[in-house]
Amino acid sequence: MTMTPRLRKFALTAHITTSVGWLGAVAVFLAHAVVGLTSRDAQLVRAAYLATELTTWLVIVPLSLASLLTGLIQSLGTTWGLFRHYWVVIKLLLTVFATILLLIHTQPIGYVADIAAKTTMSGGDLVKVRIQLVVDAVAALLLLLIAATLSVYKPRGLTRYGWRKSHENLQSR
Amino acid sequence: MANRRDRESPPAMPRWVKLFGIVVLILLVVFVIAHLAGGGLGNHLPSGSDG
Repeated sequence: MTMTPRLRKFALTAHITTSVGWLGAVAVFLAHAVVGLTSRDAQLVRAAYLATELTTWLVIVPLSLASLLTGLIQSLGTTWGLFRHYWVVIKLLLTVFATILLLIHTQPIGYVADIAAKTTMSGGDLVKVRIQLVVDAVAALLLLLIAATLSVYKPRGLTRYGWRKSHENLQSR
Repeated sequence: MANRRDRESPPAMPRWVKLFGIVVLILLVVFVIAHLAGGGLGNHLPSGSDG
């Protein structure tokens, strides 16, 4: 079902704002994770890790789900479709993958925040997990940047399904 | 005749998709190796004492 132009613009606006918001929120998370890992100020480290958990649950998770949902609506409600063009398929896979990874990694995020809330973390405490948070945030940023680039450039390439569909449309005219 | 045949055959996968797939495959292999090696990037939560 194709959306009306007004509804399409509304859906596109929702998708762009949630997707770019997600990217920005991950950048903020990265800043907190880096500060938490590198700062020698115990109060700042605690604040940074508490902020990572809040940012994750209150901003990043809702935006990631909203981005996925609005993306699905955008593709299914327009002639782009969900499986007709390679750039859409790859963007969908990237978004789903990023969302799953995010949900998995809420566990270590919560764990570090919990420890930070209860104790004063020294430089060597939980180093591996704290490095993991930084690495994961960088990886997520890269994924989202690739998705954003695909959205703007929309590189050409019809899938077999898309080619079949366009053929059917041509023949039905 | 050649044009008609072209129109009837589905398009080949674009080069950029193949390149993208290769890069993703390489990254996945690196990721799996890192996890199997049990390095610092592999564990989500500390199993014992961790610094």
